[in-house]
Amino acid sequence: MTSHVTLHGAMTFRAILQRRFTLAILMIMPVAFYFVSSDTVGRAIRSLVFGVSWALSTVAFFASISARQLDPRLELAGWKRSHLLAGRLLGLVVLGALLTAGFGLLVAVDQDVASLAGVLLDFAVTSVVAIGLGTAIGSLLSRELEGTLVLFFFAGLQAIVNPFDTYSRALPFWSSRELGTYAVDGAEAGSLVEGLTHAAATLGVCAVIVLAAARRPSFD
Amino acid sequence: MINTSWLDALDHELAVSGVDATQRADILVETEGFLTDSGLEAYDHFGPAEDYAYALAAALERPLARRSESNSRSIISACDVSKSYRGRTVLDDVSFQAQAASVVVLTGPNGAGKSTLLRIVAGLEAADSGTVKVDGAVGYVPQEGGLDPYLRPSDHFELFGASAGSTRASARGEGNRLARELGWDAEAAPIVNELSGGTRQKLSVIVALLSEPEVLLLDEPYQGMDADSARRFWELLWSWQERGGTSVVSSHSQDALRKASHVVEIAGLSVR
Repeated sequence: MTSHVTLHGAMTFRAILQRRFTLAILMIMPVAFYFVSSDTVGRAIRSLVFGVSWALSTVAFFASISARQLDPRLELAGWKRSHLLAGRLLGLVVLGALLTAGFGLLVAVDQDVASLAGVLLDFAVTSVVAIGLGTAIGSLLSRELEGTLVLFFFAGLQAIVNPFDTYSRALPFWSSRELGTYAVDGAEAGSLVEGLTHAAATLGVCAVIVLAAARRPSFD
Repeated sequence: MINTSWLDALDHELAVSGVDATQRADILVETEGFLTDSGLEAYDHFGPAEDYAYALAAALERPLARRSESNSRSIISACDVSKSYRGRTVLDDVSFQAQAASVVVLTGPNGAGKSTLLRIVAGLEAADSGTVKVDGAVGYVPQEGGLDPYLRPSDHFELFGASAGSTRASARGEGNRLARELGWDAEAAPIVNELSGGTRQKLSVIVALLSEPEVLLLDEPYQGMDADSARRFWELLWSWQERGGTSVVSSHSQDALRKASHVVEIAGLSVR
């Protein structure tokens, strides 16, 4: 079982790396967001996290779309659907971990933050939520343009919504902002528990969507 | 002047059709003699070497001999299968059977439901009514897609080989061997997105075989392949059939019809 998941994870990671140009654009974006707002620590980190959420959810979405072609055949060949999904998520999590490490290093070198561990936690949680969201949208929509627009819709709302309005909590990356505020401004400004709870709830919704969609076997 | 490449092609096609060496030699001598005496161009008079070879092989009853190789055990049994999409009937009470070690060709016009029927047999889609029974593991080759556009052929070999318990190295070795049988060097091949349509189809056929299925379902499998590759594809399929494999091939090609053990025609819904 483990070897199958590892193999599929390695292939997912390899396929993502092959999209060099797309990947480069998606990775440059968080860095660009960061540098145009690096004069204020909180704003810089929130911008970076925002970019990471957009980039990773898009990569996860693309990975889901590619899987629609190959996974049904692999299942016919004897692979378990759970191994395929676990392998794909493993490959994406490895990518998320690398991004967390890389962007964490950038912040550590370039900023004077109160809690670097808090920032790393924010990156890590945002990465996992982004992977969940991209995978969930990829299980519902089969066309790249449609899925990318839906992700843009979420990202756009996230950027313009007032984070203190109650309805902003309905957005998938509310937790990212909350954890970022906790890391930069301290526990009196942001709640670690609320941020983590929101992230867990978002992942729960994504898991329900992915599992429900996984019941239909087909090529698209 | 005699076109020797046409005669070579004829010899090859006769061999593929199972005509033995002695008979092939006789046919070639006769054909060459006729062309010399008449001064006719081989292609102008006989048409493509492939077609002429199959006509000769049919006359020698080689295809019939091949057909008799299949045994009577039913591997696929589809009974009264119907399917509609948004009120449009695609399949209407279609039935067919495939015996062990046979090659069944599904034919019919575009939109007749050949691909849908294959997907239903593969279990990738549910029929609205009717029953489908398949005795054995299935390998499926879709008309297009079914591969990861950003993985190399060797990556696909590893993934599909793993399902049959192969190590990564042995899966790559077997995949490369099958690729060579199809006239393709897959070892240094780029990612799927950079392969031609015909080469993708070769890869699709190879990965289906790597999972060691008992049944192969192939949807227009040699679309985009050149004539030599298509010929090699049939050789590979027959070799697999001789080891007991059963295949269902959807195709418009007259060539495929000549090579089948049985032909199922969809649209008129007749079966011969």
